[in-house]
Amino acid sequence: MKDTTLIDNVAGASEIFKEEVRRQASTLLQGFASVDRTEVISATGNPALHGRWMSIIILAGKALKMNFRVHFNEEVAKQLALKVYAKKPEEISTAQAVDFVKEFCNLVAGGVKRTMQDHQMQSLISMPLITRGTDEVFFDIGQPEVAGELPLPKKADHEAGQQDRWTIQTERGDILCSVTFDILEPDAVQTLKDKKTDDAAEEEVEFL
Amino acid sequence: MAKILVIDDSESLRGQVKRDLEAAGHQVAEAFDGMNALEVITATPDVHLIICDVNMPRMDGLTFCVKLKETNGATKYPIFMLTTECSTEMKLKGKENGVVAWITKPYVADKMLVAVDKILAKFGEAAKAA
Repeated sequence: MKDTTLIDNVAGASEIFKEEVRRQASTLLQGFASVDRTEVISATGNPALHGRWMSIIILAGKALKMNFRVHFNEEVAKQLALKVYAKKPEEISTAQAVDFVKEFCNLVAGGVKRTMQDHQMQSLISMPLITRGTDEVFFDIGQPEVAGELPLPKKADHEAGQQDRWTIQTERGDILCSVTFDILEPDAVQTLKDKKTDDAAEEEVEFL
Repeated sequence: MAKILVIDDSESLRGQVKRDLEAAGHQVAEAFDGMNALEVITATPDVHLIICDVNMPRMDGLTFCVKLKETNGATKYPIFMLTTECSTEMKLKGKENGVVAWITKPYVADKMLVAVDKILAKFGEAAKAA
């Protein structure tokens, strides 16, 4: 018999967490790239068709684990990075453009980690990684059919990984963000809605 | 104005911090990880303040603080951590090894610059008194 309370809790926590990651990504891209506006649009379709580059970072804790990814192309990354480097896009190297997106990933994971810590959930984050190519190697977990013939076991609904995918549109180009996550302690994650922390960009300096 | 060493493996983050500090009239040296920072400090020991990330390849920021303390003492260089890390344990370890302030990325330039001025004033007074 299904534990409907658990399933409801996971579903509720999932929506709250998705909203938090979207909020962090949008706010942080606006600040880091110094763009005037960001607009979040839910994405549909095949993510493999969006850009040749991907940056990924992993966060793991007792309450949840996630990987956050940014799919992008080099030209957009150069447009978004131009104010950080105070250069024209054509003067920005590939390495600099990629570094900008890696650091953006790092900031988003750091923002999520800090919000979780503010709600008594400890976590660790990896360093951001970068890869490129035309194949999407991260299939939808919990949905074995997406991975073709791989004999993956089908998970129960409340055990299956959750995911979200959205585009952040700016006046200097768009990037596609995606997050895949497992909620291990739905009650704890639900508390994210109870007390919104201050805007991520408003962190105070702590003197030790 | 002060000479400040910025240590971060991200060139984009270093660039942003450098731009903010230089706009405030400071002189900036850069290092891309802890190991590189030890080399930079050896070559340019007249640094007044160090701004340092935690998670970096080869040598992380907290290990850098320990190494710097071993060779220079804890108070010669005040260290200001600028990082996505925010655990109490890391802050305590940092405090034991010369870290005087901690700001979690992303930072607000104005607040960082105010903190930089406070640290420089405090440690400038300490240096005069010594």
